[in-house]
Amino acid sequence: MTIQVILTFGLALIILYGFVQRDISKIVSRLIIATGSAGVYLVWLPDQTTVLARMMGVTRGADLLFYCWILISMFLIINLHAKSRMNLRLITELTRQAALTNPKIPPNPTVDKSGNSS
Amino acid sequence: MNAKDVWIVITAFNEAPVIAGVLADVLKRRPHVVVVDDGSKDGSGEIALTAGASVLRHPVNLGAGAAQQTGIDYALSRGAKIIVTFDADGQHMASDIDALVADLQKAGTDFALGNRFKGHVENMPLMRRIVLKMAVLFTVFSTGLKMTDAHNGLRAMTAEAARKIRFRQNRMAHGSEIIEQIAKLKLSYVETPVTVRYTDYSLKKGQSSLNAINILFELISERILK
Repeated sequence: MTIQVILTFGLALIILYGFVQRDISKIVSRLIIATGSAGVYLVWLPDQTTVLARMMGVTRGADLLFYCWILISMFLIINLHAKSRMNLRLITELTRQAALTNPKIPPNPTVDKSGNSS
Repeated sequence: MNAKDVWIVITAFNEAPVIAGVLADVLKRRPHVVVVDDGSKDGSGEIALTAGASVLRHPVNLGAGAAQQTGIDYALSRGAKIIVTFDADGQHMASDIDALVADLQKAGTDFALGNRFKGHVENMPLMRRIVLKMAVLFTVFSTGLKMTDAHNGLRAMTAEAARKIRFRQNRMAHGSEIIEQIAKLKLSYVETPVTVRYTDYSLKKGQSSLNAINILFELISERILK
């Protein structure tokens, strides 16, 4: 009973986080809410995991949860990778603008009027 | 077209031991050289400035692709009509710049791509040769372009072509990316025989052959997540 309360509290926080994310990405928000809600359902009705597992061709409910966990982890890794790339692009653009707005020109250019170096 | 219209873009990250010598050779032939100091901590940028090049400094190290895009943007803003990219580690010969520019103008193409296998290679390790040949196979397979040296940093492009391409790969994968963009945008190119000289310094400083795996990963993830 104690672990069910702790897990429910944790999953409730995840669902709340999902609601907060709805302005940023509706798809991600719905996925988080659906995953959290399914988690609460299975915490309180653990036998249902076996029923669901058999419906999906998996023998044990624990195996089904493990497979789902792998899928969710992969989704999170790809999502984090995409965010990291987006941040890197912003940093690149900022760095580039900083460089372009402050070029250093050589003090004694070795270029004559015709454009040839001396 | 006179010498003023040609800009040389050199990217440098901790190249203090060789950058002055490289610039001395290049500046003898072309007056407009911009060095993009990609967050060096060994004073490469200051040495380049003293040598007579314009210098742009990235406050942090982003990688050769990002630095090259910065240099190209700067050259375009200064009215360049032809832009030549050139390595800072002493592998390239300044005399090849003239050949690239001449080929570009003569052929009337968007790019003149340096080709070491049609030209001359000095001291290339066997593993590097194998990796480069595999990269060529990958490029031919993925783009359909027929070329025999897909990853040579020595290349010339017209200003129009430079405006069309945009590096999204910050690091070494930009070498493949530029070929992909040439294919995608249907830009024309000619291959120019050039010399690439591998030295102890350039081999020590350059990327490991195993980095090809990272480049492949970057290219694949770029296609999936773009």
